[in-house]
Amino acid sequence: MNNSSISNFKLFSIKWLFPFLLAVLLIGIGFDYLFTEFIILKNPTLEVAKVHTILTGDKAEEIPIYGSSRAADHYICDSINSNCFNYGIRGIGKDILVGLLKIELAKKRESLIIINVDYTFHNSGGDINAFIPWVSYPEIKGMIEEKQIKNSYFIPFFRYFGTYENYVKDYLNVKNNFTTLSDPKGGHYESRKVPPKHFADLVAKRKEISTRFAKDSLNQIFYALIKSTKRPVFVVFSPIHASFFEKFMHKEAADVYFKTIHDLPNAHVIQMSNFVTADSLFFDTSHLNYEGAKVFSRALRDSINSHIHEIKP
Amino acid sequence: MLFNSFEFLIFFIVVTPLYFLLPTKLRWALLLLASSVFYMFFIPEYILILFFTIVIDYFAGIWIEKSEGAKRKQYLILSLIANIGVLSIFKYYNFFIDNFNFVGSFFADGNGQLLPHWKIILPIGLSFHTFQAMSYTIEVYRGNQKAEYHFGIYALYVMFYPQLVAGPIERPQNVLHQFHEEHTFDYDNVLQGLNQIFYGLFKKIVVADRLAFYVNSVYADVAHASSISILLAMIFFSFQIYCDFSGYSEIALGTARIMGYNLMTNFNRPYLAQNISEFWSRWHISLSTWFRDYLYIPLGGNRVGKWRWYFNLSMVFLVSGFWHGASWTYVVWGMLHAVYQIAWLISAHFRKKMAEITGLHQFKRINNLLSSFITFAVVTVAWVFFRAENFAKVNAIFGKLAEMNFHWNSEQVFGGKGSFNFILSFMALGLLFLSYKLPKDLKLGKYSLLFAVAAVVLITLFGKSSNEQFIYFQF
Repeated sequence: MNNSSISNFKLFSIKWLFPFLLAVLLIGIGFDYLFTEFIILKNPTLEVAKVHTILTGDKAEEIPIYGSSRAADHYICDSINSNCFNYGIRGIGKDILVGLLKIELAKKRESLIIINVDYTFHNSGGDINAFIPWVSYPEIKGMIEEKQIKNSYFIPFFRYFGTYENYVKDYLNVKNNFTTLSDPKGGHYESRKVPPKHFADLVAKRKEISTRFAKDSLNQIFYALIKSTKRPVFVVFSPIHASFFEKFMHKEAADVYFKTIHDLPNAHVIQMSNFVTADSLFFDTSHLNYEGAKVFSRALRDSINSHIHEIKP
Repeated sequence: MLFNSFEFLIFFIVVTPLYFLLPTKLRWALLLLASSVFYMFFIPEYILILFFTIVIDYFAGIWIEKSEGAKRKQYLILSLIANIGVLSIFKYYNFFIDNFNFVGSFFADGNGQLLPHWKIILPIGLSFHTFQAMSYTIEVYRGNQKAEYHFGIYALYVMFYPQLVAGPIERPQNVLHQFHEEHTFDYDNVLQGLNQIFYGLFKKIVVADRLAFYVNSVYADVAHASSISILLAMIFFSFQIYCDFSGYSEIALGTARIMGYNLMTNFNRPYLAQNISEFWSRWHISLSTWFRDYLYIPLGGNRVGKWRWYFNLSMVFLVSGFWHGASWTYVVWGMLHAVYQIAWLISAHFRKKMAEITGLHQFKRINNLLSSFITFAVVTVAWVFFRAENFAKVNAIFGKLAEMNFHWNSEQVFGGKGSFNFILSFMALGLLFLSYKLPKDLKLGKYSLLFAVAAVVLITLFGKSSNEQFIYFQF
């Protein structure tokens, strides 16, 4: 470097580079703190906040409900039990469910656990948005696929790049019930009416989709986890539209597998896949609307109450 | 390597200081090595294609300079054949095969393929560096540029990483000498370059990728779109492609400028153009001027008869369409622009008359605004051919538009991506319009720091992390 370059570089460092880095650092850390505290953690029903509660919460009497969006959409806690909290998180599959269950079972609780399952019982990798702020927790690191975790997730402010809008959108939705009705106990219910013609299109599409029961090593882990606890576990097949079964394969294998869980002394599998048949109670072929959720939740409460005595922890 | 990737950030942070730390005589080697690494991030073995044309053009340049008479032309033709040949094989082979098979199917029995497809991925940016390479041998042939005897520097002229994969398509007169010059770390240059990079990233990540989210959704499911969503998708695509491509160019110019290199401006606020001719003097300037210098003027330009002039214009846009992509939709896109140009020329008298009759010529601002609006509208219509994968999609788009279904259905209007994304799309456009208040050259003086911090905050808060590739990479 010649003298001119060196003096210009010094000028650049003093007048631009250091002030720039300092400003970005201060704004970044400040904004990250405010965003995490006042948007992400402010409302415990946000999925990202649910994960935080799963990691840190320890209410002894709480009855957690785990599952995907179908759990979030279908279970109305107040209709089931006043101690329930709905931890349903969109997009999660068996892989994440197993991880969350491990965290749950490590807690010193004796309360009942409700797990919503689907016939596919597939792995999904999960929606990373629910986990970004918590990726430094070892439990989360083990749960999320390594390739999903970017280095930027460990840098304040930049960790939310591209996802700020998702959190803000969820926050506004939960706060104002824009698109879904939000329950302070974690549920999010679809109140929008689906025109019959649109629903018929969805049914027609669903009938073309082939699905099957996923047989893999996680099934044994899931089974072993339930077996390992003394806590009562209800594994629930919540309602799904009949069109789902049109091209579903390996149903028998699924039934056999869940029968082994049902036979565990502390577990009970509640089969309500076909409990709701009216199209008007569905939002789409996989999800009930609010009215459907009410019907299902009341029936589930009765079912749990009638079977709870069968559980032998 | 994408400019909007974490890898490029690391690459930039490593290469730029190293560049200034090295003695001037070694800098070309660093830049060549860096450019090779940059290119090999896509498909490493494709660098051999580049190497092949570089070797031929390097020697062709020297031979042209050293020869006289017909020999000079022969070496130029050798270079052109090599470049166009490579482009034809990798970019147009399957296109020719498809058309050959299509025509052949009328004569052959059965529906089988007469000639097989070649399963190959187009080398990234091939059209760009091929054109840049050709401009070198042509300029040497014309005597406007001396042949480059330093093989490394010639290779760098073709491979300089800021403009390697999507231009600007440089001329040797503008760039080659810069590789021989000493560049010092210049405070003003660095600041301007950084501003350009931040502005380019803003255009790409905040505006283009945001609009792409809506556009892709509507184009993927035209059957369920309404006339409103189609119209919005068309308008959004106009801004998407502008911000995508001009964003890339800004980053390219900024990256080069920091190291002391001046590349040619590629965009000049094209949607403010008041006629189609002006649009092309503001859009992808390096390509427009390439065609002007190496095709339009050699064909006779406008110094010929009226009909020959229209033919020349048509040829330029035909080739331009074909340059963009090996598909008939691109050809139609190009020809549509030729029709616009010719219609603009033919209607000169009529337009003047109309302006006088309506009295519009007295209201300059309204007249200008209307002209810009009409130009934008016709360009937007043409973009449909550019964006659609095939003519069936083009038909579906215009069919939906013709339905004139302006009934408000929020699901359709929001393009299936929700109201929040819809609002953010308009906000991104608002920010783009606001950015037009900035000086064109982005020399912001004492406000550079504020601009950079604001850009980082805006990009982080409102950027889409879709990792969308730059549209023009495919060419």
